[in-house]
Amino acid sequence: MTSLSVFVYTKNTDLHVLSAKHAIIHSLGVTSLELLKRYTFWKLTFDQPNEEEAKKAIEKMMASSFYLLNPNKQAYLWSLNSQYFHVMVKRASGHADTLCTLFQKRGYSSLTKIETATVWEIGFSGTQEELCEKVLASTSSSKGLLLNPLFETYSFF
Amino acid sequence: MGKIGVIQFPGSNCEYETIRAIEAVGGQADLLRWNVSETVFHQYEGYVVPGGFSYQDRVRSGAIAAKLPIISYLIAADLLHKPILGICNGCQILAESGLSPNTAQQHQIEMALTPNEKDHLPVGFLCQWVFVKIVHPEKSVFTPFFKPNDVLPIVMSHAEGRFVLKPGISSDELTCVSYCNEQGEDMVSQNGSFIAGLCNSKGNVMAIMPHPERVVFSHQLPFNLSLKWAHAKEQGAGQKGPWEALFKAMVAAAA
Repeated sequence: MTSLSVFVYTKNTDLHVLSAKHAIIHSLGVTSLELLKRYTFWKLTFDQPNEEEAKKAIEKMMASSFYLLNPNKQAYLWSLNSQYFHVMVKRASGHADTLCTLFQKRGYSSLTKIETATVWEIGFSGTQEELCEKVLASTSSSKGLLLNPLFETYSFF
Repeated sequence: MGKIGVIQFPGSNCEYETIRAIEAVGGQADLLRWNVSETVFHQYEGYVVPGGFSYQDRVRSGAIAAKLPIISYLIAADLLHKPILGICNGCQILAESGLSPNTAQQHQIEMALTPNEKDHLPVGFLCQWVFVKIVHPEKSVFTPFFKPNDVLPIVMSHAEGRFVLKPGISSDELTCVSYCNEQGEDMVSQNGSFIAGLCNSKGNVMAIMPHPERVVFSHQLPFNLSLKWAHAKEQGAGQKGPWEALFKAMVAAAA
């Protein structure tokens, strides 16, 4: 069993990030926010032990379909810079399972599971608790933005 | 007569037809931009947050707009019991800003409009005619001219319209519009929700996902919807439509 994670990002300016950063700094007044980036996270699990083979399969999936990324405007990384906070925001949805079935039907028979989430990379001069309270979970019009705790969950990694 | 302010955010796209709907029932409405001054904002006696895609639905639908200073003015207007109507994206903004349903009266976020989903599978953007019925018309300033269980056609046009309430909050007392079939039997809509619109406990704030402003005149109805409404359409352009009563009630409440 091999699991690989891929972080897909927008090559040009990410407009979600632009608006989110502006709102956090100017509307919520959180000036300690230094950096904000957004990635679409994919975790693909294969029932083969060879990591190189799994990597090749993912690269082929990305090159031959637009499901994991659009190569015209997006690129990907296998890992993220560890000097920042990384928050994974998940929504309960059957989308990834549907995608897994679709890839299996397209010949990727060793693929067993796909998981997806949004990952925010945050440069923040403060504690994790302050970040959670001021920037993450939206609880009112004056606090939090990046996720709605009523239908999204988050974890640091 | 009190004027109604229709708030335009960058990306709103239903503001002009909303103004037309208000004017069609004898009301007066002005377009208020998102960066309007607080003094000008408070000259109005009612507000509509119209549909569209404020800030391109970035991060989540309505999330960025809900953090703007104009929302604090809207909260102040709510405290003065002025009528506030949020339609589609406006409904999402009211949810993200804690104006609806606001059961604890603290303007904390108590509901979310989540992506359309049925049987745990995403169904994407839905644009279709549906039937809804009016529930508890006496509880809201927007629905006194309707009868209980009035069945009305309306247009649904959204990708994130599934109501999710904070645990512990019951939808029974708050729901003012719910999805149904043509006969008025309750049903879960294609978006996975049976709630179409909610009011706050005071009754002055209504958040509705389908578009009442698109069904103010009978000529806006399609012929193939049902025999009853096709007959209404045959009466010609400019005739009263099923949702005229909602705007009439709002204009009366803003007087």
